[in-house]
Amino acid sequence: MSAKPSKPMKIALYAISIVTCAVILYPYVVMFFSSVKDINEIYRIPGTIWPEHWNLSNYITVWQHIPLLYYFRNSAIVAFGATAVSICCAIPTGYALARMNFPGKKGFMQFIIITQMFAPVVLLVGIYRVMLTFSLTNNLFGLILLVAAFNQAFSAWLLSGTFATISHELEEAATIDGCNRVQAVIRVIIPLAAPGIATAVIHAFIGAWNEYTLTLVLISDTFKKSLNVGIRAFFGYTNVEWWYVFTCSLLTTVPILLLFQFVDKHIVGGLTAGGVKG
Amino acid sequence: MKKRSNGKMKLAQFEAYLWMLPTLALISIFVLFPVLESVYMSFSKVSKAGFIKSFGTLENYQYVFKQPVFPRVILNTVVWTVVIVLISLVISIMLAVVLNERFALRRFTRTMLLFPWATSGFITACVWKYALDYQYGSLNALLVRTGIVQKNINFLGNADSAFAWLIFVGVFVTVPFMTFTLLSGLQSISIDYYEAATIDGANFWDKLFKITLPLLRPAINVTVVLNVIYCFNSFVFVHTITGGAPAHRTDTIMTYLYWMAFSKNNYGPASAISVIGFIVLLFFSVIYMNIQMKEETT
Repeated sequence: MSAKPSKPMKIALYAISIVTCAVILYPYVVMFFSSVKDINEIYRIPGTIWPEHWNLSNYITVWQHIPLLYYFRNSAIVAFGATAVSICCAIPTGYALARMNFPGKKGFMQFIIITQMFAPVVLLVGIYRVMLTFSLTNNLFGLILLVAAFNQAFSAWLLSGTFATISHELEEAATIDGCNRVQAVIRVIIPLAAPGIATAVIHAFIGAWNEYTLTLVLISDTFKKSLNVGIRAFFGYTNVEWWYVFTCSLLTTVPILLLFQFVDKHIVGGLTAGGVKG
Repeated sequence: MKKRSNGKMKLAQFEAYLWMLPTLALISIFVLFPVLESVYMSFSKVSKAGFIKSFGTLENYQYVFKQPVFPRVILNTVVWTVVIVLISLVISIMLAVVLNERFALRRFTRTMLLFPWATSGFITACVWKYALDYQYGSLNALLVRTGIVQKNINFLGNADSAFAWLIFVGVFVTVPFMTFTLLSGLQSISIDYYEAATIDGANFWDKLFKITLPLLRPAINVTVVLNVIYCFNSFVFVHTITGGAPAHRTDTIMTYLYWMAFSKNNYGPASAISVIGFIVLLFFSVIYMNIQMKEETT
């Protein structure tokens, strides 16, 4: 705001930042410390803050308790698959919304905004029945299509905004050089819209990687579950094997957080695009 | 776009739908179809196995409204949505103003704020479930070991305190997204206003209430409506942390719907709850759409 914050202002800035970071970091620290504690330490009253023994072997033994490799594979299949399907469908739609006039355009745009508002949970019964009808329960391919469908509104809207900022002239120049519309999109529009497409890709990927509710309802086969739903195996009727819950949680979360350090800029761009421009 | 002859215009119209065909197919099959299926089921007699026996009855709606816990579930949903959005809004405005200043911790704090947003809701819910556990929870460990309290507190022991903690978790996951949308709103406010105000002798609070908040109004409107919708749709936190316990007194519409459908196999009433949910969402979607379309045209 102002050029130079005053001294009490500076203290307030630091105080607010430190409190915010502490609250945000707390669950991640808890996750890490608890993941290296053993059964005796987790079930001690009062609990320990700092782990007494750094039981890093939890990260090795956890692989013997649940088919973690399958869960990694399934999460990756769904995340990559849903991202690919979602972006491949959203690019032509975003292009049509940005460049073409057609009857019912306003209605279609309103329809897209409305579908963005329906989270899968409110449709769960209907989704379950539709997937049963198409024999797509317990099927990763079905899950990919479903996750991609719920991501369409966001991706198409974001991409149409990006395409709209690209000058018509470049596209016309390509047409004069003998490209048809599809070639012009592939050779001119997509390369120029790369940052916007990257944002859409990252959002789709993170959303699909973290998907929980649909997998919970649709996938019952142990070997087809994702990381998020697979972790539930450690929630027993009487007690929870928290140390394994958190080793898996960290194994699930760390790849995404690492990815974040490289793509920070694109994410924030997308967050604000999703919030302010649709 | 240039005006073209009539015949070509018609072809061009057809072309747009061809480009949108994959999206249209996905949304129709996986979003629209489930909506219609839910509406149809909500007016049908459905067996426990999920077979539709006959269409044309209001029984499912009557059943839902006759449940003694249903008013409580509705009340919870309203409290959950309104309180989370309001508390998050106050915190997010504060954080956005802070992160709009230049100081050493700015980048770090910004990066930290992305963490809860990037972590799966289920995992966030797991950590807080553990943190808040009565006997083994890490928050109790922290409070007892540092001597702040004498013995463990039963955070999730009764419905009111459990619900308050659920709201805390809701705020924890809502603030990051809100802060970023407000921050981008702040960054679009011209610095000239503040410089002029400084020359006129305005202090920090004058600037906040007379410049920042009024100019931030459009961004606030959008983020409030969006987050009302997100909170209303929120499922995983309540489902994982309390599961509606004790006796549905911390359930919201979404978790109650899940329980009705997948724990009780009462698909008819569950679809009726779905339809009630759509109507609420549709109402907020229309508000959001009006804001959006206004922005598009201005």
